[in-house]
Amino acid sequence: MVKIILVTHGEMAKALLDTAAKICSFEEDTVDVFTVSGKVDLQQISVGIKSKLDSAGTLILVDTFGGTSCNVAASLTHGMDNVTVVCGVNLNMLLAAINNRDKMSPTELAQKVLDDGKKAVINATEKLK
Amino acid sequence: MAIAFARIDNRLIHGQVVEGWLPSTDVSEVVVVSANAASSTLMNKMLRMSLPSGYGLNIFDEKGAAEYLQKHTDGKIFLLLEDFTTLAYLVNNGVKIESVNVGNTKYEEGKKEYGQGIYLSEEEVATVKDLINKNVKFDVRALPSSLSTRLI
Repeated sequence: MVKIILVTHGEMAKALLDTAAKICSFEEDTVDVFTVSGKVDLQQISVGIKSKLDSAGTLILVDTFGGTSCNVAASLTHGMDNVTVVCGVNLNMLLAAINNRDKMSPTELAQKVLDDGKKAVINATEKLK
Repeated sequence: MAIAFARIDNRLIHGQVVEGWLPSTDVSEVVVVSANAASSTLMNKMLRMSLPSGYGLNIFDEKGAAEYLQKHTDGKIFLLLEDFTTLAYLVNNGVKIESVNVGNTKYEEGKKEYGQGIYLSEEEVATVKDLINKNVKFDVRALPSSLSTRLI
């Protein structure tokens, strides 16, 4: 099973996880969440994320490219095998990750999450015209 | 005067800078001063990728920055520093900086909080006082829309 870690600003990671848990069935404590906002020592966040990495495969979902969440996760895992950092996390991406993490390789899962995330961004008004 | 805007931000180029400050300042180039960033190929790459296209980017250590900023008097520079020690180095080495926006500093145990996201050690407080004596003005706020607060 591919390890999933959420890293975001504010309470977004926790809120996404809480919401996902109301939509699909999984143990919430099997997804780790980290926030990079407020009174946090980024070095400690980095150490915390590192301690949760699974060498068999980890997918780190972060909120925004170029944000601190991404900067911390991407610099920590740079050059590591079997860890992918994907930015722009939305609910569909998290659900795709959770629902497919025991069916796919880490690489396949990362691709699936990217694809589903992009598909989820839709102009509903246009589409329903 | 080439420095159009100066900010202390331990996170360097991130959302508050890209979404908040860059659009509200008239600058053509970002100068990041961080020895760590200057010596790391990875950080160089990440900083460049984080910055919207259309802005120039130069990354220096303190010494390199002091030299560059004194020579480079055209253009409009957004100066981004990771801490007060870096600012003090530049000011004490001939770089003219009148006003500095303070966004956030690194949190470490033992530091005291001086406003949201601003943590200072005793040494840093002394550095700040010295800079104030040298007529550097501080504008403490994360975003242009935030209320400016007093530093110390």
